[in-house]
Amino acid sequence: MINFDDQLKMLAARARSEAPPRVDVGNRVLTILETEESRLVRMSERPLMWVAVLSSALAASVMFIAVISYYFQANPLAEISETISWVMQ
Amino acid sequence: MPLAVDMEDIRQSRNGDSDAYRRLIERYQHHIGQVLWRFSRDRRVHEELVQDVFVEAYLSLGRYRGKAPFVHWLSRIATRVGYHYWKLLVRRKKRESLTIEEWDRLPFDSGEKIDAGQAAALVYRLLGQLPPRDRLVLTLRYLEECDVAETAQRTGWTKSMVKVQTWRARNKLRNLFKQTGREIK
Repeated sequence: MINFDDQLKMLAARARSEAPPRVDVGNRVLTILETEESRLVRMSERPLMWVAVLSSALAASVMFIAVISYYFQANPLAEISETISWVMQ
Repeated sequence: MPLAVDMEDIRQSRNGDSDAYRRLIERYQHHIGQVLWRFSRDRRVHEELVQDVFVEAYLSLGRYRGKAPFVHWLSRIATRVGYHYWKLLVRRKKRESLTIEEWDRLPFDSGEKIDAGQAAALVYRLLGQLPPRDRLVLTLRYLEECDVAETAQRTGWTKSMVKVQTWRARNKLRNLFKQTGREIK
């Protein structure tokens, strides 16, 4: 009587001679990779898009602050009204 | 050492040449199919697993250093893909089963030859009763005929871990038989 381990080894040896079904995945793999690559390109473009959005938002707020500061510091309307009143005198 | 023709196709594939990658697929899909037939005997699933291996291999082609033959590197990916598939089956609570009567009907003592497909299906179902880690180590040791070093390489485990895991898995398998009330030698 052979032991369990030997039985399993015998069965495994027989199993190894089985021919697996033939596969042909070339076309499908390449199709998946093409789709995947275009998705990856889109993904790689996404961070650049966010950088562009953030820098535009930052530039707009800096410009807004700059305009406010200019009016606050220089007060161009006051200068004009002062000039007009000086001429009127 | 990897084959020169493989290295050339790998280099071209990295540069986006799909024909070069097709050549690599055609060269190794049969071998990978053979490895993955141990992980699923469902033809549709089997083909999907082979396909997943080549997709994963392409996406990590930049990490292939050429220190070992390309087919070894692919086999490692195939082992990982197959192992993940088994873990998925466990999560879905799909387990193989094998009755003791089926085992007892096998002509071990008579010297009669068992059909290769039948033997493979039986070993698959027998090992399928074990958790994925145990199933993996015994599949590699018995069906792929990997020694401890090869098993360690394929699984990414240490050699001592492979030895311990093999010992545990064999015990679990024996216990499965003992639970049915059968004496195991």
